[in-house]
Amino acid sequence: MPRVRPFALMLVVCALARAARAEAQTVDLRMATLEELMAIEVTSASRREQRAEDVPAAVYVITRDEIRRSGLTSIPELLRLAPGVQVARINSNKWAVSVRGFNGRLYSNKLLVMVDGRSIYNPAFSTVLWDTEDLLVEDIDHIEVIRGPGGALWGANAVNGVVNIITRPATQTSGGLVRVSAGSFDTSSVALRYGNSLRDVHYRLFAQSSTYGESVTTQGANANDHWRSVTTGFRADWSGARDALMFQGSATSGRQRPLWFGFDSVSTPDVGWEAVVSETTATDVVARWTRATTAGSAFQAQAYFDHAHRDEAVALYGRRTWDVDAQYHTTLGKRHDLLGGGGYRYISESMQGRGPYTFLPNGLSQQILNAFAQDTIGLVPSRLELTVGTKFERSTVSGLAFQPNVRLMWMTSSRQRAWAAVARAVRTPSLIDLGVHVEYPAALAIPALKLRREIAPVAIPVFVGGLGNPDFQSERLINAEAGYRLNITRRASFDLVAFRGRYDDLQTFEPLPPVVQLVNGQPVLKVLSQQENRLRADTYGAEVSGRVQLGNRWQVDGALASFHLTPHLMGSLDPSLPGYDSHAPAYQWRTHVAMPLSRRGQADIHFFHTGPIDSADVPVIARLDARAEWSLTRQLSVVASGQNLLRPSHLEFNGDKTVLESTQIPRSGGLRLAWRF
Amino acid sequence: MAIVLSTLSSQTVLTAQAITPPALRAAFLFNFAKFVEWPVDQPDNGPLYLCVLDDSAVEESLTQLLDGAPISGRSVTLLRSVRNRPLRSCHVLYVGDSDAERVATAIEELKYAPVLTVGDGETFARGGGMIGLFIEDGRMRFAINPDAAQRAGLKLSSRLLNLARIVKEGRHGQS
Repeated sequence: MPRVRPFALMLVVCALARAARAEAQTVDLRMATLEELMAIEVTSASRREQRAEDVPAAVYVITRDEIRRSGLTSIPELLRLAPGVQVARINSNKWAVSVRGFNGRLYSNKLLVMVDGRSIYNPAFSTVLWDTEDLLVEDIDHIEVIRGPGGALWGANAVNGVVNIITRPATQTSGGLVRVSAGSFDTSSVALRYGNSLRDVHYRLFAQSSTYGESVTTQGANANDHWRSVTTGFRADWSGARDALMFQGSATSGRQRPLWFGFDSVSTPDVGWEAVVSETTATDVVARWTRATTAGSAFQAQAYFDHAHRDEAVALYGRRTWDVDAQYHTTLGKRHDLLGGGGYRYISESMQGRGPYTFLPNGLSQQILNAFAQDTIGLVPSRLELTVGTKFERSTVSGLAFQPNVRLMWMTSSRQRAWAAVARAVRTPSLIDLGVHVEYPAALAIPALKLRREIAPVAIPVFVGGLGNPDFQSERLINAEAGYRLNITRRASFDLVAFRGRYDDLQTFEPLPPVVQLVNGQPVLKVLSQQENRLRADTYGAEVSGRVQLGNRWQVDGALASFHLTPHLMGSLDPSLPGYDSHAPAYQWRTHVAMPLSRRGQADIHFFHTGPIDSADVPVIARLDARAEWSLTRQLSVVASGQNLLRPSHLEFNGDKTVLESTQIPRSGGLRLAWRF
Repeated sequence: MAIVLSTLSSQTVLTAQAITPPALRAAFLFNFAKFVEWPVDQPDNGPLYLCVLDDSAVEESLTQLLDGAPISGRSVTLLRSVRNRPLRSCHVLYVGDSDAERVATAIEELKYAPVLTVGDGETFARGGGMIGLFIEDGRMRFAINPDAAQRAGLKLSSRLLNLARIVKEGRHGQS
């Protein structure tokens, strides 16, 4: 099969970088003829590498070219390019990103995200805290977005999807790069990168400093939520005859004004919320060793350490993670392609509550052991493939989890693929689920409590709040899906997926009986709720994407996704559940047109449309982005881009009203200059 | 003893010569040069310059590969730091898998220049480059865009063309 972008890009199924090896070590390359060179077998040495179109799952690969053509520079924003991903910017420095629903409550907790094989899913907040994920956009090779359960390979919390962000090997980033940008919302940034080699070790060093402007409150005022982030890091790659080594690390520090509700301003309830400065740091190092043992077999071991620290209005949070994992990929006979491995992770977290928040326990140490195995069986060679696999994961906090999947891929012709899959996945309880305790005066909480009619004005102060639950269980999904892919010609392709899911033991907030307590000698009425697992939900939906390339420099592509959820209350009294749609729109779509501007320029127009989110009072969002790039010389390029061009500002999310203020995202524009030497 | 050991180990390195994809690409690059005729106005007996843009692994492999063996009686030299030089100083240029726009700019710069451009993927040849290397069925193959070579005044031998997949530029390609 010819290598055709973007659908023929190699997909590294387990998020580990590509490394291929050639066999036949006896050939002397100096003397070899062309015919001899063409006979050398090049085999893949990674965990298991497949072309995206051959994977029996809902996969979309955001290529480097798509990234560049989007004009977007932060990771959560880039995820807008994949079909079925709901990206909602809450304010200048917070995002809610989810796949197939469940973007609601405080956080999106069912999407696992990895950067070069390292999980960036925060185990205490059960979400990705995007404000500390600061990469140079030029270093991203591609982003794999897999919708649907990925627990059989990736483990817990890959319930609704997995995102694998893969950075470029240092061999492909040699030389220097200086990039400066200025804009109205992404205010300014400077990035520096230098790559070179010392003998056969290739490396790069990079640093980036960015500042971001303010969003707009729903009343139209400046939201005072500007922020900045500084990141530095390195990556080194070495490869020999059979082995490859990779070592990388980065450190990021940021200062945000995230618009937490101002609990300190209890005496002035009309303030409602205020900007409280947060300080964050995140550091990580990753080492990886890949060895090609024999033709078609490979072993890989990886270890990483990360450290995170967040000093915020609600808590002082710290985490250290140590992770090692190993895997082996081989073939058995002509029909079996085997992949197996295991890993160990140790996570140590501390969470000191602030203001009205306390956490009990205020720290958690967790050990997670896992083992997985997968067999891909060629039922009819290069026609019909059956994949069966599972992961067993044992956590000292949440116990044993079993996440199997069965997948069938039918290659009806070289141009058509049809597949189906059934899988199970779990979302494990976090420190917050188990032990949060928050109480605050009701005056501040009224926006969140409009459904709670039982709270009438009373003579004594009312405190509302929520409690975690030490008996909180894992949330579970069993999902069935099927897909069809068609490459009409080399230049046009089409992908369709339909899914159905059944979720059990979903998180609910059950009202506790109101109690009167004496606080500082004053009687206070406390109306609290506690986390339980009393919701079942059925979901269904479909995702479609397509691409037509019209000549070398014209392209039209687009995607459409629909989602529907039916809640079933299992004795739940959670007042927010009637009408619950998991803060996901019933439909969303996007389209993109790429065109040449002149011989040395190109332009792109992106349109995004998101249906209304009724449960969160978010209306339809229509967003237009445009971008133009000119290569002045081979070394120098300039990019002009604009986002949200249709309206002065718009609201994208309103789902976390009790803790975080959602604001409007303004229209913005910017200029970027990049110099490579 | 120490001398014996180091000799032994260097021999081991030679026989177990790593054939990584970058090494294989470098070997193809070196080989392609044997099947190209540059226009006569080029200095005839001067060295043949090979260059690599944006792929330090291929550049490194080429360094190890070039041991002074001449091609058609001309000495072969790897021209380094080509990022900041005019690409026309090269006879053979390998363009790494960089941003599409950067690759296109390099191709554009060399449109009428007698430089054999080699890149990654069949798309490289379809986009106006001369030879695109790609992996198919576990083997490395290459696609040739004869129009691009002809435009630049390069003559490719029929033996080279016979081994290649012949492609044309996209209908609305580099114009």
